[in-house]
Amino acid sequence: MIKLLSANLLRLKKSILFWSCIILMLLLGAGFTLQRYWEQVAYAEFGQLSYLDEVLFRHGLLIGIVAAVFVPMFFGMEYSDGAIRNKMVVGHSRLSIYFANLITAVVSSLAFCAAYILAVLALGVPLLNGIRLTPPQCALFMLGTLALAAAFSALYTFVAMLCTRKAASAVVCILGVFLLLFAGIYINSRLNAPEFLREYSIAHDGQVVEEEPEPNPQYVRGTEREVYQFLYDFLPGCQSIQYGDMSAENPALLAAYSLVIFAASTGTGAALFRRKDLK
Amino acid sequence: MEYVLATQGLSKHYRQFKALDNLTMHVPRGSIYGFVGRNGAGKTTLIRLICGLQAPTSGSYSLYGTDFNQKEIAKIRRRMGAVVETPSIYLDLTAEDNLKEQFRVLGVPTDDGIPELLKLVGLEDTGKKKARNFSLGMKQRLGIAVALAGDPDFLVLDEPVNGLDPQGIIDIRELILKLNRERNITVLISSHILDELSKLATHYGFIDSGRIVKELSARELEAACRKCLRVEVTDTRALARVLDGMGVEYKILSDGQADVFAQLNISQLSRALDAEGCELLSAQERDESLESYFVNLVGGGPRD
Repeated sequence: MIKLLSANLLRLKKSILFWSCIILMLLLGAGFTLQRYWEQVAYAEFGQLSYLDEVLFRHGLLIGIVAAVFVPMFFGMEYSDGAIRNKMVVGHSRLSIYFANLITAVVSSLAFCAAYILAVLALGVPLLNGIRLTPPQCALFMLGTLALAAAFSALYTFVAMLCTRKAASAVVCILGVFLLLFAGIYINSRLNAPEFLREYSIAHDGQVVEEEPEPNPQYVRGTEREVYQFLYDFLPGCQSIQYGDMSAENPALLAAYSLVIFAASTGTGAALFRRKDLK
Repeated sequence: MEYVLATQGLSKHYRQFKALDNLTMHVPRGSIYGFVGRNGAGKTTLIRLICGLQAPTSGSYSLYGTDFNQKEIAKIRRRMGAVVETPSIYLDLTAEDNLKEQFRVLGVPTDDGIPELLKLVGLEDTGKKKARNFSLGMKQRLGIAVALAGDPDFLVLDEPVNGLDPQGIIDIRELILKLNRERNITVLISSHILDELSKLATHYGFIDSGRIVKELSARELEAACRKCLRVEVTDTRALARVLDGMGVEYKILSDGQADVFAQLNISQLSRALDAEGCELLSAQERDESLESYFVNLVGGGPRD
């Protein structure tokens, strides 16, 4: 597998797509940081302060999208160009091919995250205020986002290795990540819906009168709320939303769920790839 | 005889369709084995199986005497190189980078062998040109170079001259002959371009509907396709006496038919037979090509 990894990394080094994604993440990191800085400057009279941790973990939101483009395109090339055959003909096992590709996908995703973080630190340290999180919280957030990157990589490797058509696997991954993100937005709105709705009316004398609060029909309760909460913590798209707005309350739990997704998709993917007929 | 590849009752089914049906074949070491069959006969399926891209439904095959189910097969495959259908090359890399990539896959410690390989396949001057911009012939040669990266002694080529121009076909033919003669590489070539194959192959395997119909050496094929005069007579024993008297080579096919491997004066033969009380009913010159041999073997009717 070391040989396959070495070959993959050599190709990675020469991949225009890989370097384009790195540059994109650098630009996004720089863009988000500068945006926070300009907001701070623009609203300085209102005492607005921007902190580094507001943008430092936003790669958790971006990595799913960037990896959804990169992983299927990079590994899909092995099918479209037929180069995967060169590995099998000379006796590499399917498992070692799968795992070498998975590790390469994780390494690339972590490199994308690193590029983002680097840009944020390079501009954010001199321009923004410090980090409000405690060092252990900061470490947990970092661990959580990197575990999420690994989970996304495992899911996309699963698709890229089992779908032999590059374009189809790219479409599946990109559509998939947006579906997951939309699911995250929807679940977030359901979970954050207020339990009671306050109503106000204007009396004859023109005074505003607060009515008795009414239960919100959109508010989810009981088991349904538990299911929503579980999905919000478990699904990678929902985790992305939580890291994006820094609302993740238990990053350690999210990281554990990411590892479950990583293990489950890798186990299933490797087992299916072993039995797959290749052309 | 030592076989590089031997298959025993190999079958591959895709649902109800039998792509390979109990196929048994033998590729001798040092040979150029022409694997001949119509489109859809099962040539590429067999190649996919022996390259490990697919698993057989039943039956088995061995490479250098090692069964495909044994663990050691992974090491044995290291002695193999293959170009299956299209050349397996990264189109966004140069020829040199493609070889570097395959050297990594194989774990070759240095890239020193790359210039020699590029020279061998005539791609030494491609520089920074991406494989995407290569002609089909260049891609095919690069595919062969990649297959040769591990210094294999068994090369599998699936339709290597398909779509090539005449010069491309000559280049590939000369390369294959060179590899076989100078490096003693055993080559299995599948093709349906029989004329081209006849210039290369030392052994043939004819496949039809997933089964090997006939396996024979080029010498045996040549004998089978030898120019002859097929005569029909009333008494082949009399014919044999006459031909023995003339000192010519012949082969009795049935009670009334024989092939004579010589240029004969028909009037003379007829008179000699008459003297033996035998009548010459017909005489027909036969010059069977590989193509007609193949058609006779598998039938020229429409495919089902």
